[in-house]
Amino acid sequence: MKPNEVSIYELERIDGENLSLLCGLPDVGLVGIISVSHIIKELGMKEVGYIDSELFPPLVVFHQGEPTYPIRLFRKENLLAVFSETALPPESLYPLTRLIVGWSKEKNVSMVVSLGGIGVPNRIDIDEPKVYGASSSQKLRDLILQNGISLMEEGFLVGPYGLIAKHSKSLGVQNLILLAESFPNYPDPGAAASALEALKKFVPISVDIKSLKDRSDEIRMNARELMRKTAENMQRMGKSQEYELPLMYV
Amino acid sequence: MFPADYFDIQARLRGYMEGCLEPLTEIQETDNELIVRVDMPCVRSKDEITVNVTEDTVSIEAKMEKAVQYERWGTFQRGVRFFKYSKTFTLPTKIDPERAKARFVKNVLELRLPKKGKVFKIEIQ
Repeated sequence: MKPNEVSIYELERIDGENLSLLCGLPDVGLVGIISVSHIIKELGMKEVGYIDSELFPPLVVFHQGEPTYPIRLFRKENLLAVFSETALPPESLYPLTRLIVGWSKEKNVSMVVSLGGIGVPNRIDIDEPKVYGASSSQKLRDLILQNGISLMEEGFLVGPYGLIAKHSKSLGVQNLILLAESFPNYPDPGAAASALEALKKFVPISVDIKSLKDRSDEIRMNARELMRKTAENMQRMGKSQEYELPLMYV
Repeated sequence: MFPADYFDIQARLRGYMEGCLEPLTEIQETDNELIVRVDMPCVRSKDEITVNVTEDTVSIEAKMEKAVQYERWGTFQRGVRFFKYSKTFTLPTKIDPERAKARFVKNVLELRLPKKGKVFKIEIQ
């Protein structure tokens, strides 16, 4: 592996028709991490690969005594998922997201789905977080509206999902972004549940969302340290720009 | 030479061994007040929380509904049990403790702390 390079390693050959890739990367409220982790667990998805780079924190994660890579790929039938157990330094995001989208194009993935959060200051007063959708493709934007989801029409999206959208547009990959209203700096299983409800309108998955809500306290406890480090990284990558108006409208 | 966060890690580990977690906290500043939000999963009601506020500090303690146990916590492989949250921090500006308000919703403690000092509205001539 060359310095500053991000590589994907397949533990078994990954190919197939009509593949969808779900991205659970650390961002606002860890919405993507929580929802994708829940899907992996509920569907019993199999580990089929991992992503590594010298740009990632110098660590390995032990699970049941075995060292594993913190960013791993999972599969069940035509559903793929990429999931990170570690916070990602801002300097790793460009090459990582370029790799994810480029690999998806190579594998003929029909849709890359980014599950994330939009930090809202009044989250404490919101019982059912609203989900906003965005896409690089007109077809998916139409589908977002047909499915009763509000379109994110204006604004900045900073971080891994913003870059996935950018690379998807350049490479002509269909990218669906689903962002649930979330606590900005706390793990938010409630927002993840809303994101999953929205996802079910696009990807036919049988996932029990009640169990996610029931484990809310446990998830919030377990995800504290990842959230703490992710919040530091979000500050470094200029996440606050999401609360600014694009200059086009001065 | 110790790494920059060595003492922070040591303090956190001491807290863990005492069954005490530092809650995730954020502070938002508006023109008139500071809004502090503290994430406290496993705390069942406001009656389990003690908040002490001075002009420039906040101190919070909260009991969890039941101890949360981990068989192996982190790399040091010790079993730990957490039964309370504790955090004391300095505020970025002076506030008026007598007008402070608090609420506990969705396991998040929100403090609204009016800034000290009068705000004068001036007429533009």
